[in-house]
Amino acid sequence: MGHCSLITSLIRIIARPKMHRNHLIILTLAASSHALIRFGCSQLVIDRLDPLVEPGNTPSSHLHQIIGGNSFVPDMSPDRHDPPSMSTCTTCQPADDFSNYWTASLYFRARNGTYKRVPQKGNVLFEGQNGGMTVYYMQDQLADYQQKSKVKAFQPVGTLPLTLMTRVLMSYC
Amino acid sequence: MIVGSPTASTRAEADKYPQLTYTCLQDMGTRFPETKAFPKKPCPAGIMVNLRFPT
Repeated sequence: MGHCSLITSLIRIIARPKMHRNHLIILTLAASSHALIRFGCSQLVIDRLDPLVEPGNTPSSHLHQIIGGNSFVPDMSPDRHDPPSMSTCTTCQPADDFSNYWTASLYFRARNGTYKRVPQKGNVLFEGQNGGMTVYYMQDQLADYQQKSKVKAFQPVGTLPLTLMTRVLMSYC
Repeated sequence: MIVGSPTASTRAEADKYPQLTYTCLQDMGTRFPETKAFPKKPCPAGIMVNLRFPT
């Protein structure tokens, strides 16, 4: 295999739910306290944009593969851009997850010096998705089968009430 | 929230980001081990990158 540059960053814009959804979440979690959710998100776009590290820069310094809500734009400053109220659809399976998640893209360097982007694929049970990632929201880390931690309702922008993991699967053939 | 750094290229720098790991897939069910280093040998079913938050 030739040289591969590393995937080194993943960013998530926190979507702030509306108040009535906060109450719904509290009630749901009170009824079912040991749970996690796992879902697939297909590719939204592959582009040189990074609203968190380089807001407004077109292009950003490197390429990203991006998933989630369709209000994704180069500058998503929270005072001007509210994904849950501005997105009308999402590439994620839950129709009301308008968050965006992105990572750098991985390239394969061939012996003749050309670069090819390494194809991505869906995880187990999500084989039909187009690239993208698997997203997990949990009370505790995935390996902890008890999932006993208490979960607070959504806090102000910038904080995360749950444990989040995402996985990117790639293979060249 | 962000995991990792585009400028991390040594083991010491990678150690600052324990939330970023790689799994060399022997088949689509492989989940262990997770390594800090990018796989050095071919992975029959591909490579899985695992990213955890909050950082």
